[in-house]
Amino acid sequence: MSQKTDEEIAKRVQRGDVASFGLLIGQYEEKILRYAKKFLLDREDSKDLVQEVFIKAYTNIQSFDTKKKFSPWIYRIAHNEFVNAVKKRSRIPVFSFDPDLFLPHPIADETSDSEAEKKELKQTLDQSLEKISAKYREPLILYYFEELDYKEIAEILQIPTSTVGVRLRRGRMMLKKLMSPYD
Amino acid sequence: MIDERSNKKSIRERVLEAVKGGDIKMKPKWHFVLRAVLGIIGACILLFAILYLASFIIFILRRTGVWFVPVFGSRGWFEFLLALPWLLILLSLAFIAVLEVFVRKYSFAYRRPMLYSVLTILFLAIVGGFVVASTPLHGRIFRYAEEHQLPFARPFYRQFGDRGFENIHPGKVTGVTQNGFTIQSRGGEALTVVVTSATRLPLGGGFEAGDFVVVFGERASNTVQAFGVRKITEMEE
Repeated sequence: MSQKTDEEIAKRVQRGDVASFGLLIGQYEEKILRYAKKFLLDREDSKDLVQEVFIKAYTNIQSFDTKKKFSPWIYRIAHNEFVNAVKKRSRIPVFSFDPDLFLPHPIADETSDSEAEKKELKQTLDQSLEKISAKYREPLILYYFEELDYKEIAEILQIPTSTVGVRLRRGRMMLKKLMSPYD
Repeated sequence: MIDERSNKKSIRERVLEAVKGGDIKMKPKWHFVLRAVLGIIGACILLFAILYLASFIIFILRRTGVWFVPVFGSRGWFEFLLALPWLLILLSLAFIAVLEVFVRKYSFAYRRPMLYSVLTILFLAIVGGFVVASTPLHGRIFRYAEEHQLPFARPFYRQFGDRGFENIHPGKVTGVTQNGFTIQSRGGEALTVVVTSATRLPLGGGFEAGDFVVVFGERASNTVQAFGVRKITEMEE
């Protein structure tokens, strides 16, 4: 039997095939849980929040356009759920007005980091997640751990691709500073 | 929603169990279609409100003569800024901000910097405002509200459209005098305008009875010492 794409599986769920939704959960459970743990800094309710993500995904599956990619759609639900959870706990806005969203930036190229550098940055990121603000932490996690490209991250965060480039560049600079604090 | 006893189960098992048990229900497609349609209707209402306000602001600025005074230099600009209907401008800006927040949810807006969508809305408001203001819409509403004593429109149009300014006097030239001319304001008031060599006449002098003008200058009793006079093509009804 040929491997079905996420979008095809989502279409079956829309037609009422509950078992297919199980397949989608299977595909994304680990990824979304990893995203939750890293973004929410290992909060004890991460699992509950991820469960809520899948509940919302099922409830709203009819709003998914099967001509588009499924992964940014489910990550977007996760992003909303996690940001709301942070807001609830901290009672302060996670992201206030961001001038980076307002002004245009030159289109950023995808990073040209070497594999070794990428690995090193990923390791530093993993060890110093709490030292980086949510605004920069989230795109870094989506890029280095979830291995999503700029366009997909832009769709998840609903910001321009050029802003994703700006946030990743600044996030990377923070990581490099953490790697060599005396430079 | 989901049984506490099933805490030990995997997320997948718990969610599927809840779906099969009927605890979680899928929202029907029409729910999202309806939401999208209501969203579009809401955005259109907001846009129309912005267009209405922008065109109304232009209409009352022309009607009161305020629109024409910047041509008299820094004093004109100062008077212009003081006479702007700031309440209506702030209300329009608030509507623009709400519309911006609204459109940011759509990919055509969030894929681009906010500056672009803000400028697009402002452009639509200004250009659309000028287009609507060039039609007889507001003049007709004003007249209709006056004739039929409409409860909300009449005081609204009167408050802004009939506002008088100490130094700005729009009117129709009724006669030419030795050192100026006389005008009749929209309210039927007769004013004598004194023109000196220092009076600024950006579009030239040579006033004749029947000309429409905006006189800028201090008024003492029924005489205006003209700091500047500008001919206008016609007065807003």
